[in-house]
Formats: sequence, C-alpha cells, structure tokens
Amino acid sequence: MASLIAEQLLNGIQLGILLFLIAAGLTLIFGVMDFINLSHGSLFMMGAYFSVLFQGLTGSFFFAVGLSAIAVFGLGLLLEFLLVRRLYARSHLDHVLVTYGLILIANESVILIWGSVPIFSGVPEGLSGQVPLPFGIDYPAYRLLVIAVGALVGLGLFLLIQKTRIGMLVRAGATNRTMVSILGVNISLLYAVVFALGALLAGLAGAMAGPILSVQPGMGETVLILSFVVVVIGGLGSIRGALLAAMIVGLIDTMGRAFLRDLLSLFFSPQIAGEAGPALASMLVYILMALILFFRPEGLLPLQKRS
Amino acid sequence: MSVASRHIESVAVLLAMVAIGPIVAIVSGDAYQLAMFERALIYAVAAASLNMILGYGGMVSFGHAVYLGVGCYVTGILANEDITQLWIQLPVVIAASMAVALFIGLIVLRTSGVYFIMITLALAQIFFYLAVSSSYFGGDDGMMIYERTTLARAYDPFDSWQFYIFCAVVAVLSILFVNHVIRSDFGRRLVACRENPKRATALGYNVFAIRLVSFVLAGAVCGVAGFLLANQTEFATPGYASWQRSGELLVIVILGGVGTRFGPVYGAFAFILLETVLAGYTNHWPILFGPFLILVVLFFHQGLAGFVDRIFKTGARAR
Repeated sequence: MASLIAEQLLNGIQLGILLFLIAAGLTLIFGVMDFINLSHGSLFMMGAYFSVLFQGLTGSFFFAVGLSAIAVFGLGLLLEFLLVRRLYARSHLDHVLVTYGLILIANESVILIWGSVPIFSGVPEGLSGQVPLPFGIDYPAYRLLVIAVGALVGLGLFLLIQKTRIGMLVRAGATNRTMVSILGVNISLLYAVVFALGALLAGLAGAMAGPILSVQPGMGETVLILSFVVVVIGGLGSIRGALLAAMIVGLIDTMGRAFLRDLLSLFFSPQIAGEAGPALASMLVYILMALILFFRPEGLLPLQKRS
Repeated sequence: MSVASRHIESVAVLLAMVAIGPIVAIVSGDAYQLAMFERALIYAVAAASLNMILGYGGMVSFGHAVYLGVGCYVTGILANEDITQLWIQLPVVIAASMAVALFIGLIVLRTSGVYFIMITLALAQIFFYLAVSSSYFGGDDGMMIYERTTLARAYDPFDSWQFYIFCAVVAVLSILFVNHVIRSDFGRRLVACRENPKRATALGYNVFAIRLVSFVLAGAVCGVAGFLLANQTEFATPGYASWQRSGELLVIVILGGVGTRFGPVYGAFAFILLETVLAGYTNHWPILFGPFLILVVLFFHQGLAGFVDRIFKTGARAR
C-alpha cells in the first residue's frame, strides 16, 4: 500500500510538472501581454505530433523532442507575427474567439495530415524499464526522466526570469506594461519572444507527454482547461503561483483518481462508491478551484500589478 | 422610435425569421427541412440569453452551454419517467437551470475580466464531467429520450408541422422575454454596471446583485433552449454542455452582433446555414470555419445586425 501511494505521488508530481510547463507559458503570456490564448493547448498538441513525425525521420527520440520544441517555438513566432500581434489592443472576447478559431484549424489540420485515430508513440528504448527507488518502489524510467527534465526546465526558466536582462524585462512588463514601453524597450520584440517562449514550453511538454498520453486530435483541450485551473489557482501572471498550483492540481487529480473510490467505499456501499468515486475524482480539481476562488478570488500567489 | 412601434418591429423581425423554415419546407416539399430551422431557433434562444449578459452586462461567459445541458437532461429525465406535461417540465427545467446559474454566478461574479472567462469555463466542466460519469443517465454515450413534451390532447408532438409551431412559439416568447428584460429599467441598470461599476455603485445600485440576477435569468432562458433541444433531438448527451458548445454560442453572438437585440437570431440562422453548407461541402468543415471566424472577428466587428441596420437604416441598435 505504501509503495502504491508513493508511486501515485510520483505520478502526481509528473502530471504537475507537465501542467507547469504549459501553465507557465500561459500565465507569462497573460501577465506580460494581457492576452488570453486558448490555442496554447493546440501548441501542446503540435509538440506531440511533431515529435512523432521527427521520430520517424530521425529515429532518435531525444532528437525528436528537441526538434519539435524548436518547431513549435517557430510556429509560435509565426503565429505572433501574423495574427496575435493584431489582437493585443482588442478585447478579451476577441482573443477568445480568434484563438478558438485557431483550435478548430489546428485540430482539423492534424486530422487531415495524421488522421483522427490516436497514435501511440512508444517509450524510447532503454527507458522502457523500471527503476528501483529507495523504500522498495519500482517506477517507470521514462516518467522519472520527464520529472527530471521538467524540473530542470523549470529551474532554467526561473534563472532566465530572475537573473537575465530579458527576464528583467519580462518581469517589468508583467508589473507595468505601459511604463516598460515608455522607457524605450522594443516592446513588440519582447512580446514576440514571450509568446514564442510560451509556445516552446508547451511544445516541449507535448513532445514529452507523447509516450504517456495517446497522441490524438483534441488532446490539447483537456490539458488547456486543466492549465487554466492551474493559472487561476496560482494567480494570473505569477510563475511561482503556477508552479505551486500545478503541483497541487497534479497531485490532487492523480490521487483522487487512484484512491477516491476506495476511500468512499469505507463510508458508503461499494455500488455508491463505484459510481460516485470516478465522477467525483474528475471534478475534484474544479471543486478545489471553486473553493480557493471563493476565499481568495485573486489566486494563491497573486502578482502585484501596477498600471 | 416609440415604444409601440419597437414592439411591432420586434414581433415582425421574429415572425419573419420563424416564417423562413415553413417557406423552405413548402417550396422543397420536404417537412424534414423544418428540423434545421428548429435548431436555428433553439440556438437563437440560447444565444439571446448569452447576449443579455455578454452584450449588455459585459460578462464574457465561456460556460453558457451548461444550461443547455441542464435543460436537456432535466427534460429527458422527466420524460423518461413519464412526466411529459409542459406545465410540469418547463417550471422544473427553469428552476434547475436557475439553481445551477446561481451556484456558478455566486463564484464567478466575485471576479472579472480574464478570471471570469477562465472560471466560467472551468466550472462548466464540473457539470460536463457529472454528465459524462453518470452511468445511470447514459454517461458518455448520452441518453435517449422516448417522449416529447405534451401540451393538450389536440397537439401531436411527433407531427413535424405541429412540433415546429410549438418550437417557434416557445422560442419567440423566450426571445421576446429577453428583449423585454433588456429594455426594462433593470436592463438599463445592467448596462450602467457594464459601463461604469463604480459610478453605478455610487448611484446606489447593488452591482453584484444586478449582475447575479441577470446571470440567473440568462441561465433560465438558456435552460428553456435546452428543453427545446431535448424535444427536438430526442437525445441528451454531455456534448451539449461541452466547452465547444459554449464556444459556438459565443461565435453566434459575435456573428450576429454583440449587444444588439436581434443579433443572436441572425447569428444563429447564419451559423446553422453556414454549418449545413460547409458540412455538405466537406467533412472537415471546421478548417474552413476557423479562418472564417478569425476574419469575422478581425474585420466584421458589428456583426450581421450592424450590417442589416446599415441596409435598412432602422437604427434598431440598442446602445
């Protein structure tokens, strides 16, 4: 039982890491540009599909993941330059509708190119085994790698934002957009970089999630809505908040799915537990969000905004 | 324009829209064509309710399809329990959707802006997953509804023409109700809260309460649309409450023209027509609809209602 709990804890952390990679981009794009991007989930999906494509071309999984992250970065730049740039001055409703249109285009293009049947991109060779961990736990090597890479990227992102010049501009932009542009910063370049960086993170998450999830059209939307929950719980624009919230959401979602049925069957008949357990498990995250928002409408770690 | 002539105009526009279906059906000699226009009318009701809070209240709800789902499931569950009378079904549907809207409203109205959009979306997911995982009501596969709503002995709900008339009457009354709310004192206060919440508060209005009432009313009207949808499709599925459906409702409102009285009606007819034409052209119609939507948002911002206005110069815009 203890090893089962430990394994599910690790699964929760792994989901949390993936959610963080997506939500970090989403929250950055929102914080700096005040832009709400529904198609962020589609970028995640493109990452997964590109990874499958490049794996077929290069034969190497790690090459493929790197290449697809770069490809989605390029896609993000293109998207920002052609379309998103025209929308910053528009209302949030317009952002929602245009990026909703982008989702339709992305999903349908993927169906046209790869078909609507889910693709299972296998775990790369050499990582398909289990790794023995302390306390007698065996855990899949690939998932462990995802956690490690995610943590490294998260650390890199933290250093980028806290220690570099561009990070300083990003932080400044998130705090006071108008002031940054008045100070003579090339704001359109900054916006393009932030958008593409968010795309890169989503693409990377998608490429790494390929072997864990099934790669199929519409896979981005489930992740997108969960990332929204993460962003909202963490506080819009706040990377630290996104990290905290991603871990909470990842753990609660995973633990709920794994143990809620058994937990309920302690108190109710097996029939009720069997029916209510899975239902409650899939709603748990949203209920948590509703509760947190009821007490803290700004999220857990809100950004100090001045504008 | 005087109040009386505005009312006449309302009724005239709605009657014209209602008449399109029968004309097409008679010309083509195919009563099944009516089904498409029933769908357009149902969407028009749902979009009109969304337009009330979006266009006049300034609340961008990305979870409005929830009430469509609630109305549909409640109707279906009652019908399958052999409770088919209109005068029982409709009040229950309205009460249920109001209750859900009150729950969602109490949470989301504490926030605004982007938070509002994301949270309406996420809360709507709760009800979507509830429908997906309720194996008793068909879960993912949805639920067949075996009986349509009954009214009087003379009314046969399975006759195409009689059902169309039933649908049209309920739809027109619902849209007239929404328009009445918008034109009432309450509607003016709602617009005031959109334009300047601080000033509205200073004038002594309770902004939160006004928004909540409009949110709940919109939920109730959209629930009625769900009630019609259950009757029309004889089926209830979680898909009716999905976020894609909420997105479609937003698209319809934009297409028709945000904050215009007849925008949602024009938008719904245009959307259904476009969907039917594009879907007849290719299975992959979203790939055409996506760019179309983007172009509409970028360049055609007044929507169809603004377009119609410019042609007729009637000045029907409510702003």
